[in-house]
Formats: sequence, C-alpha cells, structure tokens
Amino acid sequence: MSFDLAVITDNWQALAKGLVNTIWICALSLPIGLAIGTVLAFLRLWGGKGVGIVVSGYIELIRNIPFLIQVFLLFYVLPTFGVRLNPITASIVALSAYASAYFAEILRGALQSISKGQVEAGYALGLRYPFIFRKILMPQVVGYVLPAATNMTITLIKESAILSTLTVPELTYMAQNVIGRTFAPVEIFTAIALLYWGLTALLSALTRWLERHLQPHLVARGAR
Amino acid sequence: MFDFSRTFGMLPQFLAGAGVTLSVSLAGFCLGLLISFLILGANSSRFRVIRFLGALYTSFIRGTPLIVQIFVVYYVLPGLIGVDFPPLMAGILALSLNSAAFLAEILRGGLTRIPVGQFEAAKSLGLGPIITWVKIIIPQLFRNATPPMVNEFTMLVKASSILSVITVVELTRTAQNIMNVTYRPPEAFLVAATLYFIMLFFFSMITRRLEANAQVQR
Repeated sequence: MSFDLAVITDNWQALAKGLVNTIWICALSLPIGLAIGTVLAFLRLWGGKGVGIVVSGYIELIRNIPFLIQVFLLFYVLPTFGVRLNPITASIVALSAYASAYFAEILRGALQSISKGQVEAGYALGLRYPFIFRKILMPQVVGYVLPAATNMTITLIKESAILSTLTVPELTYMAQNVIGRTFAPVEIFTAIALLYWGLTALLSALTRWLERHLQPHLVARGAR
Repeated sequence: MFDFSRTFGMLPQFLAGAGVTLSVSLAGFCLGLLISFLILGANSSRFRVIRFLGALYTSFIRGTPLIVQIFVVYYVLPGLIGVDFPPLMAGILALSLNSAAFLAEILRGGLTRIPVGQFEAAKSLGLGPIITWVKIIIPQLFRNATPPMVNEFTMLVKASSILSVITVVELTRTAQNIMNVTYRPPEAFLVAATLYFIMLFFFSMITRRLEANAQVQR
C-alpha cells in the first residue's frame, strides 16, 4: 500500500475551493444563528408564556432531530409549500437554524446564571435597566458565551460536512468528487481530515488567545 | 398537499429502521466505553509518548467531522489493515471510535471529582489496584458520570443517521429507500423526523431527570 502525495498536490485547487466554501458558508451562518438565537433567548425569558412555549418547541425540535434529517426536510418538504431553495441557500438556512437553537440555550443559561441580586443591586443604586444590562450583565454574559460560541463554531464546521449530501461544493463534497476521478480515497480523505483538524485547532487557539485578552480576570482565577 | 397513505403503510419498516438506529448506537456506545478506558489509561501513562498519542487521538476525533471519520473507517482502514468491513461493522466501529474520545473526557471529568484520599484509604486497607478500581472507584465514577453519558448516547443516536451514507439501513436510510418506492420524499422524511424526535426527546428527558437528581444529592 502506498501513499501517493501527487494525488493531493495535483488536486489542491479543488480541495482549496472546497475549504473556502466551507469557511464562508459557516462564517455567514454563524452570525445569523447568533442573532436569531439572541432574539429567541430573550423571547423565551421575557416573551410571556405562549411565546415561551413556541420558542422552546422550536429549540427542542432542532436539538432532537439529526442535522442530516433537518437538511433533508428543508430540501424536500419546503417545496411542498412552494418554497424552493438552491442547495447553498438551503445549507445556510439549515446551519443558521441549527446554530440559533443552541445559541438560544447558551445565552439563556448565561443570563439565568447571573444572580437576580445583581440586577436588584443595580436598581438600588438608581441605575436604569438598559444601563444595568450593558454594564453589569453583558460583560459577564460574554465570559460565558465566548467558550460556548467557539464550541458551536467548531460544531458548525463539522456539521457542514453533512451538506455534501445536498451536493453543496464544500470540502467533503469536493473530496468525494476528486476521489471519483482519481480513485485515491486514502490520500484525499487523509488530506481533508487534516484540513478540518487544522481549521478547528486554529479556532480553538484563537479563542484561547481572545479569552486571555478579553477576560484576563476569568483566566487568572482558573474559572475555566 | 401531503399524502401519507402509502408512507404510513410502510410504518413497520420505519420501526425496524428505528430499531437498527438504536442497536447500532448502543453497540457503538458499549464498544466506545471499552475503548475510552484505554484512552483514559493512555492519558495517565508514565510515558510522555503514550500521553501525547492519547491527546492526539482525542483532538483528532473532536476536530474532524464524523462523516469524514466514517469515510476513513469504511474506505481507508481496509487498505491499511487489509480487512474489508461490511457497512454495518464499519459503522459501529466508526461510532465507537468517535464516542470513545468523548466518553474518555466525560470519565476524566468524573474521576477528578473522586478525592485522592479514596485511593490512599484503599491502599492503607491493603486493597490491590484491581479491587480498588472495580469495587470503589468505578461504581462512583458511573454515578457521577451517568447524566453526561446518557447525553453522549443521545448524540450517538443523532450521529448514527450519517451512517446512511455508507448504506447502513438505519432509520435515515430506510426513509430514503421508502421515498424511492413511494415517490413521496416529504412524507418519508417527516415520519423519520418524528420517530427520531420521539426517541431523542425521551433520552433528553432522562438526562434532565438524572441531572436534577444529581443536584439534589449534592
């Protein structure tokens, strides 16, 4: 059995194109998911009972159905209602929806973990809620959310590989394409495994650096 | 709009698919648990090289998509070791290799909550390492680590849907097969989604119950 490096170097352009697509699809879905997740978290906490039930229903549906099935549902069920998405749009919608449910839970947990006494203390000092939110709650929420958001980003990159089943030209799909031409699964799968690994390791390193610079007090205390 | 008449007729096949999903996940989980003890041992090894290999393995599994790991086990591994796996075996192997890394992390977390004094107490009572682990440490470890372990099983049930790409006929593949017979993809995937939701919601309720119990005991 031999490992033929030439297969990788000959097809690096296809793999690079896949990697770039994976990165931009995730980079676009992440902020959309975070924005929707933030709205969902607020709705669930302060939106009243009816809204809370609808929101938690949505979150439970996303969390308890495999991502692959969600993708298939988007792709096959929406056309029944006259909505036809191309594979890339469907991917971004699926990833954003997926991320939004998890972000909503992360943010809710963060907001709930801050004791009510802090808000009350703020009122007692004569501060208004927007100020309390900005200056007391937000800095703490960021500390909770940053590590969770990194994990979510890494999860999103990994889940995006499933989009290859929709023929989205991301890294895994491009790899299968190259293998179809070269019959070299060993080399190509090794190459993309290393690419994914490098990408996620880079993200972890980036967050550790961010945490050290944004939240030095938390790191110093050994909270994480 | 929706016409479930033919799809509902296939319900026994869907249920059989769900059964395969659960069995494959359970098999992957059990095998993964065994492998996770190896990783745990490697992580606390005296030799730096073995510790490094353990950390490398965990990092690799956590840093690459499961679908790529499945392809590696199914397409690459046979070439490396000269053994051809049928899809079902490759699928179980991929799931167990994946869950082993996560289970090892869970067990490591559970271990840190057992005071070192217990090892010392066992030693001073003249108990050997095997008795100490089997009778004292592991029972506590499992009690500490049960909620996250059930959660990991839930993740595995979700992950097993990806095995459909290597033609393991679990629930997702069953839905695809049925869609090819009935020509009604939306209905087939809606039924599969409902079955997944029922199974996974049930397990996440158990996790929540266990977590609440664990908090009360503390």
